[in-house]
Amino acid sequence: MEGRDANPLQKFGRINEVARGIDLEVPYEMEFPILELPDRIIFEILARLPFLSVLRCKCVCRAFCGLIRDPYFSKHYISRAPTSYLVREASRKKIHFYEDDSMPSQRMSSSNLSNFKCQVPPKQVVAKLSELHEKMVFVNSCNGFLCMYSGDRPKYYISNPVLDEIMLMPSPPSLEIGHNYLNFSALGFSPNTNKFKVVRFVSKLAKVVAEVLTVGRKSWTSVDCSLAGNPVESLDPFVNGALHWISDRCRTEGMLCSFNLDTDTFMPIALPNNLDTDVLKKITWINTGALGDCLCLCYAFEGVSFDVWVMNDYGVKESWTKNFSIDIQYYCGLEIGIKHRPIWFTREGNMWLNCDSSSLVSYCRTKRSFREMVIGAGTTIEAVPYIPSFISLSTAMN
Amino acid sequence: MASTDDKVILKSSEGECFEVDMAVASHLQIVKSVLEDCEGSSDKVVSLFIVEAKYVAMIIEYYKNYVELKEKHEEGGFEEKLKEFEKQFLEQIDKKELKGLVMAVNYLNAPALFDVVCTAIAKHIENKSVEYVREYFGIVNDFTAEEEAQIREEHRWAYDGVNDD
Repeated sequence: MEGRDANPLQKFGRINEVARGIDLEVPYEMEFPILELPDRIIFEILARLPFLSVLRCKCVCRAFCGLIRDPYFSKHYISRAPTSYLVREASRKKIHFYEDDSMPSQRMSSSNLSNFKCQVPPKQVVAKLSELHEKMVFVNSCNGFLCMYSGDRPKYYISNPVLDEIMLMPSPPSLEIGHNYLNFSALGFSPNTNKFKVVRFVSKLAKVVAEVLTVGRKSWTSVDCSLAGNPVESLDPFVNGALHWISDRCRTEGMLCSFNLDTDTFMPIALPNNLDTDVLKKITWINTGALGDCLCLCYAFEGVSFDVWVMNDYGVKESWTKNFSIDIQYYCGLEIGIKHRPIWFTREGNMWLNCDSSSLVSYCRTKRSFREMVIGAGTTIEAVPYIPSFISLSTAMN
Repeated sequence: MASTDDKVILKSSEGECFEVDMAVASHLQIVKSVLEDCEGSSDKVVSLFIVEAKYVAMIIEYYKNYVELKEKHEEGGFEEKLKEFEKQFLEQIDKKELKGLVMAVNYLNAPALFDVVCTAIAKHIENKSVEYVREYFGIVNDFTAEEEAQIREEHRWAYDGVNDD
């Protein structure tokens, strides 16, 4: 016995046998026989890998493959992975996936963005979705799935771009005379029913109606949202089981809207206390989105500052707190609003903006620095925040 | 000076005893719940039946530094200092020990260190080839050639640009 105890691995091998109640035939010279570990630990190790490494690990053995294909793995992975993004260039036949890399180290000392050009990160993957065509545009992404839209005869597509999968959804009901598409659609996820839903907003004789498709079903349903204003825009609409947008009721309580995907109901969301009518009048541009797991509001105030607020407890008005603020004179000569609008926030709280048609700019909140990434080499790009999922479309639809 | 009330004794699988401040030991959920279960008892010895002395020592070292750094950098900078320490801490642990440590930390239910160790293990196989991962973890490929080819075919691009092993 003493001889065995001298070797710590032997001891651990023995403990494992006791702990798991099975006899393990692992050669003692092996340094890290991972399959001896409980599944939970293997799962946690794999969940800390960059997404490409996870994909590769599916090939390692059946045990790894099974763990990675488990929907619970994707759920866990999405909850902890850094925010990455998908970019599509004007050639439009490919979607590039970028993993968010570390932010630049220099502090901002210039008002000229051209000092902060940087290399496009090398980590990228290309999904070649064969059905991708020129008229399709990105709608948004949710839990690893990307929604795309093609407008001439309205069609919605759901894709898992990292698994190279794409699927055409049933067509929405055709619009009668007097009915208009309000140019706002989004993909979301209903946590209670475990289903993805595509929602699009149309006006029917000046009344707002949400048309809802539960992904996997054959037809759309209509939900009356007549209390809602017309949707204007949203950065990243899906937060906490609901979709969010800014409506055209710019100066009133109904400005920030939500559509709950569990109950298919519309609900206005209270603004921070300080945003009273007087303050709202001085806001030149406002939008809503997701920051981490929270709902956020961002706006340009009197051309002086750019402010970001976060609702820490969803639905609780008092929980709105200011997250960060940028003095506009240090906004690197960019104009907030339509031209240089924020496009998303990362889980770490950094902000991404589109700068001109072919570049993205990231703003690091802690270092107060901007960085420009030219992707399109002169061609127009579109980009959405995205966190990969390893679940195939067919699994998600059932 | 901390009184003996603030101390607890952790006993390794070999029976070796470690006297530890409660502030340190309370990061181990299993110790915390054992002590809560026998509250009022004067016996402050917790047996960690399956954890070897060397892992008990490592875990205590980690949380001792964690607690000290947290106190010292209350005003900010704790996270950076902790990262520095974690780097040093991991440098002295070899591959065999990583496995032992992750088992021990999982058993003791110590979330912060569990995250550190799992991340460290993941770093060893990050951006490596399938073959490297198998060798690193002593895994025998149990796929047939056809099955493996099929999985690779699902996302061919994932196999480009792996780091040299």
